[in-house]
Amino acid sequence: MSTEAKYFELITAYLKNELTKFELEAFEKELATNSALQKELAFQANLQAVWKEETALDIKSQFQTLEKELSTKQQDKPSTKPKSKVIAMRPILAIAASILLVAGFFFLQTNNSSADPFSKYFSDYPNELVSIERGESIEEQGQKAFVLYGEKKYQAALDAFSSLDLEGLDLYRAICYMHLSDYEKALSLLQNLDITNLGYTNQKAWYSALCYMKLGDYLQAKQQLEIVKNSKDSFRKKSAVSLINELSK
Amino acid sequence: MRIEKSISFEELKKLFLQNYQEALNAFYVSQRESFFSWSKRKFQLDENTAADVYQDAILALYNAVLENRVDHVKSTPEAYLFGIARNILLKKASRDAKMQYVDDFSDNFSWMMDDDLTQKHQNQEVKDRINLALSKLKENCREIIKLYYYHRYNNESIAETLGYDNTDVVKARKYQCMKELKKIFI
Repeated sequence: MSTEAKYFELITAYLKNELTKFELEAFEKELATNSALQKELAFQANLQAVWKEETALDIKSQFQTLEKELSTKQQDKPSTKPKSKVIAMRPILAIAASILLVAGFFFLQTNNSSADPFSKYFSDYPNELVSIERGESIEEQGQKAFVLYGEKKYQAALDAFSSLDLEGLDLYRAICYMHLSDYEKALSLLQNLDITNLGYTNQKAWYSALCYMKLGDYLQAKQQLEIVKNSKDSFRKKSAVSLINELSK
Repeated sequence: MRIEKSISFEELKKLFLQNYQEALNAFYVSQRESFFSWSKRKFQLDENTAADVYQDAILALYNAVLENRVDHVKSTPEAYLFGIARNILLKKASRDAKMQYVDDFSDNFSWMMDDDLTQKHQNQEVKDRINLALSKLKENCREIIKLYYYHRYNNESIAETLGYDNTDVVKARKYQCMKELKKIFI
Protein backbone atom coordinates (compact mmCIF):
# COMPACT_ATOMS: atom_id res chain seq x y z
CA MET A 1 0.00 0.00 0.00
CA SER A 2 1.40 3.42 -0.93
CA THR A 3 2.01 6.00 1.80
CA GLU A 4 -0.82 8.08 0.37
CA ALA A 5 -3.27 5.18 0.50
CA LYS A 6 -2.16 4.35 4.04
CA TYR A 7 -2.76 7.94 5.14
CA PHE A 8 -6.13 7.91 3.44
CA GLU A 9 -7.40 4.94 5.45
CA LEU A 10 -5.78 6.13 8.68
CA ILE A 11 -7.18 9.65 8.52
CA THR A 12 -10.63 8.39 7.65
CA ALA A 13 -10.59 6.10 10.66
CA TYR A 14 -9.36 9.01 12.81
CA LEU A 15 -12.12 11.32 11.62
CA LYS A 16 -14.70 8.62 12.19
CA ASN A 17 -13.44 8.06 15.77
CA GLU A 18 -12.66 4.48 14.88
CA LEU A 19 -9.05 4.26 16.08
CA THR A 20 -8.22 2.30 19.22
CA LYS A 21 -6.55 4.15 22.08
CA PHE A 22 -3.18 2.78 21.04
CA GLU A 23 -3.68 3.65 17.36
CA LEU A 24 -4.89 7.12 18.30
CA GLU A 25 -1.80 7.84 20.38
CA ALA A 26 0.48 6.67 17.58
CA PHE A 27 -1.47 8.72 15.04
CA GLU A 28 -1.31 11.90 17.08
CA LYS A 29 2.40 11.43 17.70
CA GLU A 30 3.01 11.06 13.96
CA LEU A 31 0.73 13.98 13.21
CA ALA A 32 2.76 16.33 15.40
CA THR A 33 5.82 16.01 13.16
CA ASN A 34 4.54 14.88 9.76
CA SER A 35 3.49 17.83 7.60
CA ALA A 36 2.15 15.66 4.74
CA LEU A 37 -0.15 13.94 7.19
CA GLN A 38 -1.25 17.30 8.62
CA LYS A 39 -2.07 18.54 5.12
CA GLU A 40 -4.02 15.42 4.27
CA LEU A 41 -5.93 15.58 7.53
CA ALA A 42 -6.87 19.22 6.93
CA PHE A 43 -8.14 18.36 3.46
CA GLN A 44 -10.26 15.44 4.62
CA ALA A 45 -11.62 17.35 7.62
CA ASN A 46 -12.67 20.19 5.33
CA LEU A 47 -14.21 17.72 2.92
CA GLN A 48 -16.25 16.25 5.73
CA ALA A 49 -17.35 19.72 6.84
CA VAL A 50 -18.44 20.57 3.29
CA TRP A 51 -20.58 17.43 3.09
CA LYS A 52 -22.01 18.08 6.52
CA GLU A 53 -23.24 21.52 5.46
CA GLU A 54 -24.51 20.41 2.08
CA THR A 55 -26.25 17.29 3.32
CA ALA A 56 -27.81 19.11 6.26
CA LEU A 57 -29.70 21.21 3.72
CA ASP A 58 -30.78 18.12 1.78
CA ILE A 59 -31.97 16.33 4.91
CA LYS A 60 -33.79 19.40 6.17
CA SER A 61 -35.64 19.71 2.89
CA GLN A 62 -36.40 15.96 2.98
CA PHE A 63 -37.95 16.50 6.44
CA GLN A 64 -39.93 19.50 5.26
CA THR A 65 -41.48 17.46 2.45
CA LEU A 66 -42.29 14.66 4.87
CA GLU A 67 -43.76 17.10 7.38
CA LYS A 68 -46.00 18.58 4.70
CA GLU A 69 -47.26 15.10 3.80
CA LEU A 70 -47.86 14.16 7.43
CA SER A 71 -49.75 17.31 8.31
CA THR A 72 -51.90 17.03 5.16
CA LYS A 73 -52.74 13.45 6.11
CA GLN A 74 -53.58 14.58 9.62
CA GLN A 75 -55.91 17.30 8.35
CA ASP A 76 -57.67 14.82 6.05
CA LYS A 77 -58.28 12.39 8.92
CA PRO A 78 -61.90 12.43 10.10
CA SER A 79 -62.40 13.40 13.72
CA THR A 80 -62.69 10.37 15.99
CA LYS A 81 -64.04 12.06 19.07
CA PRO A 82 -66.45 9.73 20.94
CA LYS A 83 -70.07 10.73 21.15
CA SER A 84 -71.30 11.57 24.59
CA LYS A 85 -74.50 9.52 24.32
CA VAL A 86 -74.74 6.79 26.95
CA ILE A 87 -75.48 3.45 25.27
CA ALA A 88 -74.97 -0.20 26.01
CA MET A 89 -71.32 -0.72 25.03
CA ARG A 90 -70.80 -4.43 25.49
CA PRO A 91 -72.43 -5.72 22.26
CA ILE A 92 -70.95 -2.85 20.25
CA LEU A 93 -67.48 -3.58 21.61
CA ALA A 94 -67.85 -7.22 20.69
CA ILE A 95 -68.80 -6.32 17.10
CA ALA A 96 -66.04 -3.71 16.89
CA ALA A 97 -63.51 -6.21 18.18
CA SER A 98 -64.42 -8.75 15.53
CA ILE A 99 -64.33 -6.09 12.79
CA LEU A 100 -60.92 -4.96 14.01
CA LEU A 101 -59.68 -8.51 14.08
CA VAL A 102 -60.74 -9.12 10.49
CA ALA A 103 -59.56 -5.68 9.34
CA GLY A 104 -56.28 -6.18 11.17
CA PHE A 105 -55.78 -9.49 9.48
CA PHE A 106 -56.34 -7.98 6.04
CA PHE A 107 -54.19 -4.97 6.94
CA LEU A 108 -51.32 -7.20 7.92
CA GLN A 109 -51.76 -9.35 4.86
CA THR A 110 -51.68 -6.44 2.44
CA ASN A 111 -49.28 -4.29 4.39
CA ASN A 112 -46.67 -6.94 4.94
CA SER A 113 -46.69 -7.89 1.35
CA SER A 114 -47.09 -4.68 -0.60
CA ALA A 115 -47.21 -1.11 0.73
CA ASP A 116 -44.40 -1.20 3.25
CA PRO A 117 -41.85 -3.27 1.36
CA PHE A 118 -42.19 -1.07 -1.71
CA SER A 119 -41.39 2.18 0.03
CA LYS A 120 -38.72 0.43 2.05
CA TYR A 121 -36.91 -0.89 -0.99
CA PHE A 122 -37.61 1.64 -3.74
CA SER A 123 -34.85 4.15 -4.35
CA ASP A 124 -33.45 5.82 -7.45
CA TYR A 125 -30.68 4.31 -9.52
CA PRO A 126 -27.75 6.75 -9.69
CA ASN A 127 -26.98 8.43 -12.97
CA GLU A 128 -24.30 6.46 -14.76
CA LEU A 129 -24.95 7.62 -18.28
CA VAL A 130 -24.07 11.29 -18.33
CA SER A 131 -21.30 13.13 -16.53
CA ILE A 132 -22.60 16.31 -14.94
CA GLU A 133 -20.40 19.29 -14.35
CA ARG A 134 -22.29 21.32 -11.82
CA GLY A 135 -21.60 24.99 -11.32
CA GLU A 136 -20.88 25.56 -14.99
CA SER A 137 -23.34 26.41 -17.70
CA ILE A 138 -25.30 23.31 -18.55
CA GLU A 139 -25.58 23.16 -22.30
CA GLU A 140 -26.00 19.52 -22.96
CA GLN A 141 -29.56 18.30 -23.02
CA GLY A 142 -28.44 15.07 -21.37
CA GLN A 143 -26.93 16.94 -18.47
CA LYS A 144 -30.11 18.97 -18.01
CA ALA A 145 -32.22 15.83 -17.97
CA PHE A 146 -30.07 14.10 -15.39
CA VAL A 147 -29.84 17.20 -13.23
CA LEU A 148 -33.65 17.19 -13.12
CA TYR A 149 -33.59 13.47 -12.31
CA GLY A 150 -31.08 14.09 -9.52
CA GLU A 151 -33.29 16.86 -8.18
CA LYS A 152 -36.22 14.42 -8.11
CA LYS A 153 -38.21 16.44 -10.65
CA TYR A 154 -39.39 13.30 -12.37
CA GLN A 155 -42.01 14.71 -14.75
CA ALA A 156 -39.61 17.37 -15.99
CA ALA A 157 -36.84 14.76 -16.28
CA LEU A 158 -39.14 12.57 -18.38
CA ASP A 159 -39.84 15.48 -20.71
CA ALA A 160 -36.11 16.16 -21.02
CA PHE A 161 -35.32 12.47 -21.56
CA SER A 162 -37.66 12.40 -24.55
CA SER A 163 -35.15 14.26 -26.71
CA LEU A 164 -32.30 11.92 -25.81
CA ASP A 165 -31.15 8.73 -27.38
CA LEU A 166 -28.93 6.89 -24.94
CA GLU A 167 -28.50 3.22 -24.30
CA GLY A 168 -29.99 2.33 -20.95
CA LEU A 169 -32.06 5.50 -20.71
CA ASP A 170 -35.28 3.50 -20.36
CA LEU A 171 -34.16 2.36 -16.92
CA TYR A 172 -34.23 5.98 -15.74
CA ARG A 173 -37.49 6.64 -17.59
CA ALA A 174 -39.04 3.65 -15.84
CA ILE A 175 -37.90 4.94 -12.44
CA CYS A 176 -39.49 8.31 -13.20
CA TYR A 177 -42.77 6.62 -14.08
CA MET A 178 -42.58 4.62 -10.85
CA HIS A 179 -42.31 7.89 -8.94
CA LEU A 180 -45.33 9.15 -10.84
CA SER A 181 -47.19 5.92 -9.89
CA ASP A 182 -47.52 4.71 -13.50
CA TYR A 183 -46.20 1.20 -12.80
CA GLU A 184 -47.61 -0.34 -16.00
CA LYS A 185 -45.75 2.13 -18.19
CA ALA A 186 -42.62 1.63 -16.08
CA LEU A 187 -42.89 -2.13 -16.42
CA SER A 188 -43.31 -2.02 -20.18
CA LEU A 189 -40.19 0.15 -20.49
CA LEU A 190 -38.25 -2.26 -18.29
CA GLN A 191 -39.43 -5.27 -20.27
CA ASN A 192 -38.11 -3.70 -23.47
CA LEU A 193 -34.86 -2.55 -21.88
CA ASP A 194 -31.93 -3.96 -23.84
CA ILE A 195 -29.31 -5.03 -21.34
CA THR A 196 -26.91 -6.79 -23.67
CA ASN A 197 -24.18 -4.17 -23.54
CA LEU A 198 -24.99 -2.56 -20.22
CA GLY A 199 -25.05 -5.58 -17.95
CA TYR A 200 -28.14 -4.19 -16.20
CA THR A 201 -29.60 -7.63 -15.46
CA ASN A 202 -30.13 -6.97 -11.78
CA GLN A 203 -31.27 -3.42 -12.30
CA LYS A 204 -33.92 -4.53 -14.81
CA ALA A 205 -35.15 -7.39 -12.64
CA TRP A 206 -35.07 -5.38 -9.40
CA TYR A 207 -37.19 -2.48 -10.62
CA SER A 208 -39.51 -4.87 -12.50
CA ALA A 209 -40.07 -6.76 -9.25
CA LEU A 210 -41.03 -3.54 -7.48
CA CYS A 211 -43.49 -2.67 -10.27
CA TYR A 212 -45.05 -6.14 -10.11
CA MET A 213 -45.43 -5.72 -6.37
CA LYS A 214 -47.25 -2.44 -6.83
CA LEU A 215 -49.49 -4.07 -9.44
CA GLY A 216 -50.26 -6.90 -7.01
CA ASP A 217 -48.56 -9.65 -9.03
CA TYR A 218 -46.42 -11.18 -6.28
CA LEU A 219 -45.63 -14.31 -8.25
CA GLN A 220 -43.94 -12.35 -11.02
CA ALA A 221 -42.32 -10.08 -8.43
CA LYS A 222 -40.75 -13.10 -6.74
CA GLN A 223 -39.55 -14.50 -10.06
CA GLN A 224 -37.76 -11.22 -10.81
CA LEU A 225 -36.28 -11.15 -7.32
CA GLU A 226 -34.96 -14.68 -7.84
CA ILE A 227 -33.07 -13.41 -10.91
CA VAL A 228 -31.42 -10.75 -8.73
CA LYS A 229 -30.73 -13.24 -5.97
CA ASN A 230 -29.07 -15.76 -8.28
CA SER A 231 -27.11 -13.26 -10.34
CA LYS A 232 -23.34 -12.83 -10.08
CA ASP A 233 -23.79 -9.07 -9.81
CA SER A 234 -24.12 -7.73 -6.26
CA PHE A 235 -26.63 -4.96 -7.05
CA ARG A 236 -29.58 -5.34 -4.65
CA LYS A 237 -28.74 -9.00 -4.03
CA LYS A 238 -29.07 -8.67 -0.28
CA SER A 239 -32.25 -6.64 -0.60
CA ALA A 240 -33.72 -9.22 -2.96
CA VAL A 241 -33.13 -11.97 -0.41
CA SER A 242 -34.82 -10.02 2.37
CA LEU A 243 -37.68 -8.94 0.13
CA ILE A 244 -38.30 -12.55 -0.94
CA ASN A 245 -38.45 -13.46 2.74
CA GLU A 246 -40.86 -10.62 3.46
CA LEU A 247 -43.11 -11.61 0.58
CA SER A 248 -43.09 -15.23 1.72
CA LYS A 249 -44.36 -14.39 5.22
CA MET B 1 -39.52 1.11 6.82
CA ARG B 2 -41.06 1.40 10.26
CA ILE B 3 -39.16 2.24 13.44
CA GLU B 4 -40.36 1.55 16.97
CA LYS B 5 -40.47 4.53 19.30
CA SER B 6 -38.29 2.68 21.78
CA ILE B 7 -35.50 1.82 19.29
CA SER B 8 -31.96 1.64 20.71
CA PHE B 9 -28.99 3.66 19.43
CA GLU B 10 -27.35 0.49 18.20
CA GLU B 11 -30.32 -0.51 16.07
CA LEU B 12 -30.81 3.04 14.83
CA LYS B 13 -27.19 3.36 13.76
CA LYS B 14 -27.44 0.10 11.85
CA LEU B 15 -30.43 1.44 9.92
CA PHE B 16 -28.76 4.80 9.27
CA LEU B 17 -25.76 3.02 7.79
CA GLN B 18 -27.90 0.95 5.45
CA ASN B 19 -30.31 3.50 4.04
CA TYR B 20 -30.06 6.85 5.76
CA GLN B 21 -32.92 8.54 3.91
CA GLU B 22 -35.52 5.94 4.75
CA ALA B 23 -34.23 5.46 8.27
CA LEU B 24 -34.33 9.21 8.97
CA ASN B 25 -37.89 9.47 7.67
CA ALA B 26 -39.01 6.46 9.69
CA PHE B 27 -37.38 7.83 12.84
CA TYR B 28 -39.02 11.21 12.17
CA VAL B 29 -42.44 9.59 12.01
CA SER B 30 -41.81 7.45 15.10
CA GLN B 31 -41.17 10.35 17.49
CA ARG B 32 -43.20 13.13 15.86
CA GLU B 33 -46.48 12.86 17.69
CA SER B 34 -45.03 12.75 21.18
CA PHE B 35 -42.55 15.52 20.32
CA PHE B 36 -45.25 17.87 19.07
CA SER B 37 -47.43 17.40 22.12
CA TRP B 38 -44.39 17.74 24.46
CA SER B 39 -43.25 20.97 22.78
CA LYS B 40 -46.74 22.40 22.92
CA ARG B 41 -47.20 21.46 26.58
CA LYS B 42 -43.76 22.56 27.80
CA PHE B 43 -42.87 25.47 25.52
CA GLN B 44 -46.21 26.49 23.97
CA LEU B 45 -44.69 26.15 20.50
CA ASP B 46 -46.84 26.54 17.42
CA GLU B 47 -46.66 23.70 14.89
CA ASN B 48 -44.29 25.43 12.45
CA THR B 49 -41.71 26.26 15.11
CA ALA B 50 -42.09 22.80 16.63
CA ALA B 51 -41.45 21.18 13.23
CA ASP B 52 -38.40 23.37 12.67
CA VAL B 53 -36.87 22.55 16.06
CA TYR B 54 -37.77 18.87 15.68
CA GLN B 55 -36.00 18.68 12.30
CA ASP B 56 -32.88 20.40 13.64
CA ALA B 57 -32.86 18.08 16.64
CA ILE B 58 -33.06 14.94 14.50
CA LEU B 59 -30.29 16.24 12.27
CA ALA B 60 -28.12 16.86 15.36
CA LEU B 61 -28.90 13.37 16.64
CA TYR B 62 -28.03 11.90 13.23
CA ASN B 63 -24.64 13.65 13.29
CA ALA B 64 -24.01 12.49 16.85
CA VAL B 65 -24.77 8.89 15.88
CA LEU B 66 -22.54 9.05 12.79
CA GLU B 67 -19.69 10.59 14.76
CA ASN B 68 -19.93 7.86 17.41
CA ARG B 69 -20.74 10.45 20.07
CA VAL B 70 -23.58 8.42 21.51
CA ASP B 71 -21.73 5.16 21.97
CA HIS B 72 -21.54 5.56 25.73
CA VAL B 73 -24.78 7.44 26.21
CA LYS B 74 -27.09 5.64 28.60
CA SER B 75 -30.37 7.22 27.46
CA THR B 76 -32.54 6.14 24.54
CA PRO B 77 -32.58 7.98 21.20
CA GLU B 78 -36.00 9.31 22.17
CA ALA B 79 -34.74 10.89 25.43
CA TYR B 80 -31.58 12.13 23.70
CA LEU B 81 -33.65 13.76 20.96
CA PHE B 82 -35.84 15.60 23.45
CA GLY B 83 -32.72 16.71 25.30
CA ILE B 84 -31.26 18.20 22.11
CA ALA B 85 -34.55 19.95 21.36
CA ARG B 86 -34.64 21.41 24.87
CA ASN B 87 -31.11 22.76 24.40
CA ILE B 88 -31.98 24.26 21.01
CA LEU B 89 -34.98 26.01 22.55
CA LEU B 90 -33.04 27.28 25.56
CA LYS B 91 -30.26 28.58 23.33
CA LYS B 92 -32.80 30.23 21.07
CA ALA B 93 -34.50 31.93 24.03
CA SER B 94 -31.17 33.17 25.39
CA ARG B 95 -30.09 34.33 21.92
CA ASP B 96 -33.30 36.26 21.45
CA ALA B 97 -32.79 37.98 24.81
CA LYS B 98 -29.18 38.90 24.00
CA MET B 99 -29.83 39.97 20.44
CA GLN B 100 -29.98 43.69 21.12
CA TYR B 101 -26.81 43.56 23.22
CA VAL B 102 -24.90 41.61 20.57
CA ASP B 103 -25.89 44.07 17.88
CA ASP B 104 -24.57 46.98 19.93
CA PHE B 105 -21.38 45.06 20.69
CA SER B 106 -20.58 44.18 17.11
CA ASP B 107 -21.18 47.75 15.97
CA ASN B 108 -18.69 49.19 18.45
CA PHE B 109 -16.11 46.49 18.99
CA SER B 110 -15.98 44.52 15.75
CA TRP B 111 -12.21 45.11 15.43
CA MET B 112 -11.74 42.74 18.40
CA MET B 113 -13.02 39.86 16.34
CA ASP B 114 -10.83 40.43 13.28
CA ASP B 115 -8.51 37.45 13.86
CA ASP B 116 -11.42 35.15 14.29
CA LEU B 117 -13.04 36.47 11.16
CA THR B 118 -9.87 36.05 9.09
CA GLN B 119 -9.60 32.43 10.20
CA LYS B 120 -13.26 31.83 9.39
CA HIS B 121 -12.82 33.49 6.02
CA GLN B 122 -9.81 31.29 5.18
CA ASN B 123 -11.70 28.13 6.16
CA GLN B 124 -14.62 29.21 4.05
CA GLU B 125 -12.33 29.78 1.10
CA VAL B 126 -10.96 26.22 1.35
CA LYS B 127 -14.48 24.87 1.68
CA ASP B 128 -15.60 26.81 -1.39
CA ARG B 129 -12.69 25.38 -3.38
CA ILE B 130 -13.56 21.86 -2.23
CA ASN B 131 -17.15 22.48 -3.20
CA LEU B 132 -16.09 23.59 -6.65
CA ALA B 133 -13.84 20.55 -7.04
CA LEU B 134 -16.69 18.26 -5.95
CA SER B 135 -18.97 19.84 -8.52
CA LYS B 136 -16.51 18.89 -11.25
CA LEU B 137 -16.36 15.25 -10.21
CA LYS B 138 -18.43 12.62 -11.95
CA GLU B 139 -21.79 11.98 -10.31
CA ASN B 140 -20.92 8.44 -9.16
CA CYS B 141 -17.68 9.68 -7.61
CA ARG B 142 -19.54 12.43 -5.74
CA GLU B 143 -22.03 9.88 -4.49
CA ILE B 144 -19.37 7.42 -3.31
CA ILE B 145 -17.50 10.16 -1.43
CA LYS B 146 -20.68 11.49 0.12
CA LEU B 147 -21.85 8.07 1.31
CA TYR B 148 -18.43 7.30 2.72
CA TYR B 149 -17.42 10.60 4.26
CA TYR B 150 -20.64 11.95 5.51
CA HIS B 151 -23.09 9.09 5.87
CA ARG B 152 -20.34 6.73 7.03
CA TYR B 153 -21.51 3.85 4.88
CA ASN B 154 -19.13 0.92 4.92
CA ASN B 155 -17.85 -0.61 1.69
CA GLU B 156 -20.58 -3.25 1.73
CA SER B 157 -23.41 -0.73 2.02
CA ILE B 158 -21.88 1.41 -0.71
CA ALA B 159 -21.65 -1.63 -3.01
CA GLU B 160 -25.28 -2.46 -2.26
CA THR B 161 -26.53 1.12 -2.75
CA LEU B 162 -24.54 2.01 -5.84
CA GLY B 163 -24.50 -1.40 -7.46
CA TYR B 164 -20.79 -2.22 -7.36
CA ASP B 165 -19.79 -5.85 -7.81
CA ASN B 166 -17.97 -6.23 -4.53
CA THR B 167 -16.30 -4.34 -1.71
CA ASP B 168 -12.86 -4.46 -3.32
CA VAL B 169 -14.20 -2.48 -6.27
CA VAL B 170 -15.66 0.07 -3.83
CA LYS B 171 -12.37 0.37 -1.98
CA ALA B 172 -10.43 0.98 -5.18
CA ARG B 173 -13.07 3.33 -6.61
CA LYS B 174 -13.20 5.34 -3.38
CA TYR B 175 -9.47 5.87 -3.48
CA GLN B 176 -9.47 6.76 -7.19
CA CYS B 177 -12.29 9.27 -6.63
CA MET B 178 -10.39 10.92 -3.79
CA LYS B 179 -7.29 11.18 -5.95
CA GLU B 180 -9.36 12.69 -8.74
CA LEU B 181 -10.92 15.16 -6.32
CA LYS B 182 -7.57 16.24 -5.00
CA LYS B 183 -6.23 16.63 -8.54
CA ILE B 184 -9.08 19.00 -9.36
CA PHE B 185 -8.72 20.75 -6.00
CA ILE B 186 -5.02 21.48 -6.46
